[in-house]
Amino acid sequence: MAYTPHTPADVEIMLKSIGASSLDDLFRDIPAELLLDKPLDIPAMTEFEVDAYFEERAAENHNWIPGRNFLGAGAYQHFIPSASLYLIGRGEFMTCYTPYQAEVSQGTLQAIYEFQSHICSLTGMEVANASMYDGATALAEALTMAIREKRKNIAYLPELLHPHYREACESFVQGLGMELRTIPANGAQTDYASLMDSIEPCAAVVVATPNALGGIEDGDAARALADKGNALLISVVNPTSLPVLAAPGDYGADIACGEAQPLGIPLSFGGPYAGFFASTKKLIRKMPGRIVGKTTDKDGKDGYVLTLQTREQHIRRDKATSNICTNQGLFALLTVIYMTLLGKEGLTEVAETSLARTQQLADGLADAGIRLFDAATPHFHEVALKLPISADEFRHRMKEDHGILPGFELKNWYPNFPEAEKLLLVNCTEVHTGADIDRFVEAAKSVVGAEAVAQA
Amino acid sequence: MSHETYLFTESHEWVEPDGDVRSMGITDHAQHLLGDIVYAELPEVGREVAKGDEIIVVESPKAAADVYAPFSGEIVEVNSALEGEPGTINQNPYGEGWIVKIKPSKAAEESEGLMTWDKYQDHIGG
Amino acid sequence: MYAQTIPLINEKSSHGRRGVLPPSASEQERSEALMRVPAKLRRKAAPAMPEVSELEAVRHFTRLSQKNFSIDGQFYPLGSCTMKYNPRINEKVAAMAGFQRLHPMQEEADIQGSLRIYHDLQEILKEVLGLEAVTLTPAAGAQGEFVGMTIIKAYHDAQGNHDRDEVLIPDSAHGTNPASAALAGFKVREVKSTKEGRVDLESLRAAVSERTAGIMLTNPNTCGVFENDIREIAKIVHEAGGLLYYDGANLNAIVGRTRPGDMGFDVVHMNLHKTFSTPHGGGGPGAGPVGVAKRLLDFLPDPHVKKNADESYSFYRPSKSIGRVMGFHGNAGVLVRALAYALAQGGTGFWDVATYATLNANYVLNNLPPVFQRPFGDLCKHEALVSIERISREKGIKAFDVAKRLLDLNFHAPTIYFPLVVHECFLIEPTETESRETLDSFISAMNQIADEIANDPEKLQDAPLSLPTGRLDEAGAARELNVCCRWDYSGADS
Repeated sequence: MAYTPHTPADVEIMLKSIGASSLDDLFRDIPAELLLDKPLDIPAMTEFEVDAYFEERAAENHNWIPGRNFLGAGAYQHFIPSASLYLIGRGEFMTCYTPYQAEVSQGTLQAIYEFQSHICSLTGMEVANASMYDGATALAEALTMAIREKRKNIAYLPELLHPHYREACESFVQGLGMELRTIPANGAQTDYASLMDSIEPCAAVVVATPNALGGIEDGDAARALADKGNALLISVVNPTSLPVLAAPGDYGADIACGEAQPLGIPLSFGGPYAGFFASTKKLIRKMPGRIVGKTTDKDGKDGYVLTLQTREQHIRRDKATSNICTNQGLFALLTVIYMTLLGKEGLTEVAETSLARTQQLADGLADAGIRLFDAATPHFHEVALKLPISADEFRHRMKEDHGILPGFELKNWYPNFPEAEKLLLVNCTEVHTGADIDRFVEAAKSVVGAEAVAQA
Repeated sequence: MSHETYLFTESHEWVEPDGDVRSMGITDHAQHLLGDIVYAELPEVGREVAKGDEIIVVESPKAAADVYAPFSGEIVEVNSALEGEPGTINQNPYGEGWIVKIKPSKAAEESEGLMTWDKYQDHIGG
Repeated sequence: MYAQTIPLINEKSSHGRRGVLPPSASEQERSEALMRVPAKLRRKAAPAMPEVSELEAVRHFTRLSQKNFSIDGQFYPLGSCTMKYNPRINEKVAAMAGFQRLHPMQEEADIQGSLRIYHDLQEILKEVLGLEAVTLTPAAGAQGEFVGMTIIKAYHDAQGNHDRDEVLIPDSAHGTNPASAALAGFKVREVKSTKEGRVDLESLRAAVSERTAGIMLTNPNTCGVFENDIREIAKIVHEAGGLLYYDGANLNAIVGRTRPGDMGFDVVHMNLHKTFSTPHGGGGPGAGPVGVAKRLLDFLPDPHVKKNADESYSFYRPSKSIGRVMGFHGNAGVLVRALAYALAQGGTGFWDVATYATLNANYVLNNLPPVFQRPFGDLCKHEALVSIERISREKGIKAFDVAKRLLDLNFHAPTIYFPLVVHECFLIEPTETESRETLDSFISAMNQIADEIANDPEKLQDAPLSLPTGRLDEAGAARELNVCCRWDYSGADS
């Protein structure tokens, strides 16, 4: 009987007050043939045993030391200040519900208002919502918003969009009859110009920057294509990059969205993360999800409430802008705390250091004769290597011989790229020191050894 | 024109009883049920509508109500003053709070199902 | 509660003040790196962001937290939300480095512990639901609904039944049901409730047709009433060729005592942040696993976890999968917490959950003052539905006013104005983790409010009276939209 406080005396008093003869009598309205006659056959553990079970499972995972792990591919290692995880563990944040009773939820509401403000500042957009499930579903929601706005059912997505995002969008829009078309890649950059003559009137053009190969896209080129298709421009961005790279607002995006995990959310095997979602003010009534607005109380003091709720499912039902209800509030809060603790300069340092380390790795590898898939395209904190040996073998030997997880094998995503089996996607962030980069380069030299020299 | 001469629908719209182009809005009873109106989503001018189409959405903080076309016809004007001052619908639902003007194409036959002021009073009092 | 108004963090910022320093390359390394990015791809001025010390940040967020009610601090009887105690062992295990640092794209050999967690949780949830398989990917209940409805659509399409485009939904349903069905591409058809708060079988018979894809039901329903005709409902819908979808928002009432699969449901989502005690976090994250009957196995989302013959675990894509629905594999950290809870409960614990949740709700229902009238019957399940519609007409007091007055008395308000089929209602869900003493103090607060309705109704209309924040102007918020602040604190660059 875990977590229930009832004593036998309580039960007796309560049953008497209800007029029920027994606890089982409380279920007399359920047809007898549906009631189980005994508890389910699931053993119960003590708290100590539960702890031990998870210690075992945790030990069965390979827990990489951050400086030796170069895997990115949509989820990124970053320094997480201790105070942030402590603060979201406070019961007042963790164990409250959606702030529907605003007067006793001002803490959550103000924090989400600050989240919206920070997201607007980062993306250069005018309005933001209180979070989506993750980056992939945020994009899917952006596509459905574009359908509602433009009343067209075609959207153009770059080939270099993270393939998981593409797949989630396919699943999401299938019921709405939307057709997703592809904007081709040219190396590690998207070739927006190639569709300038053939684009049809559509709901949305998507730019993802940095893209799935780490390449930095030209937002202006994407905007030009969107204008040609009379479409909304949806920008999928990595928030880490925004202190230094052009913001969606700079190149006229209508919607900016993405994965907030890099803003201080632990990797946690893929979730919980948080999607962020921002747009122009003009589009706010078509936006999905919760939005916090600032207002005043009856004495004129500042306060915060959920606003524009008539867009949402609990009021608009089948005509709602989205079905989302529970979102990722606590992890949106974690990102606000992260942004606050690192501050303006800290966030810039993280972005610049990620950029610098990635360049240092690419330079070091080039000296060792290992080339990039596309050296001409500027990259942010991830880059595709074109190895002289198979990426599978490289990864294996880096792990076994040198204790390094070197990255992600791109043949899993882009099997049709030339020599796809030799492509490896590598990520560096501020968690990697110069020494970590040197170790990677030395290890890579020894793994590719003679082959690289032969090709170089 | 007094609102007591208007025609009314069961779904709480009012419309002027005659003319080539007729104003319409929501009744005092409807605005009262909704509470503080914070937004009215207006249709495009020139849109052809059929009687019973959802043409407008009127919103309070916690509710959204569809407003239906009382006649088939064309939307010829919308009350764009409502964009800045949606509360006008609360204050003066039959006057400055009109929402659109419609040019009915089948006014005579479609007037049949509409109620007079007295009948509408019975409808909402019932 | 923290009594002062808390300025926005940017109002506290001072140019040049630092919080926590991240690891960083040297200034020279950084500026050289930046110069290698073409100017047109770079940002012209760094975005405005807070500039405060670590202590200022900690104090800011600590004070904000002190402006919240929470389960840890207050009784939180929010109907349909199952605000039960969130055990701290769940948090402890989820924070283990072996889980928190695990990258979602690591190779299978490196993630065996977490794959086993997925597998073990799937097995327990299958047992709880009485169904053939469970996907853990959906991030929340609404996403579970979307996944479930998309599976139903894919199933009918695979049978060649492309014309089944209607989903039946009772008028008492959660708003997510029609919203999810619409998103999955269905038309929604409403089914009326009877005066007992149950599905009207005659309306249902009239509504089913060769266009029926399925029905979405909550059982016990949102009126707190068990749909005791459920087998007949299942028969009607199945004979018409439709499938039954179970919204598991109310699973806490019956978990371990009866199973949706045994009732005839084909697809079920459950909310782990409700029944399985994972924290609500001020609006999320949750997790909305979906269980399915045998004929729907192949349609589950990608990826799914299986146990192999050699006792290892792996991901796979089911043969007719509806596809990927999240960036990775769902809210893994929430799943760890839910499994910790399930392991601590076991079969007998679940039996007790439903039992005491139902006992507590009925105790409240039977001890509220008479002004809170029961619209339906004498026995509820895990939540008690009452209404003040009659007194509301007499005195002009709204459910909203009572809710706000409860806040003054240090209780979170129950859900109000839901379900839509009962006016001026309160949906009160105490959950099994509350003691009799807590329920008694809530009941006495409701008695006090009943007195105030009779003798001092103005007091209610101004409530809350004792909190740092008074009644807020929601209409003003919607008319004068202000959803993000302007960054113009002194010393800012931009």
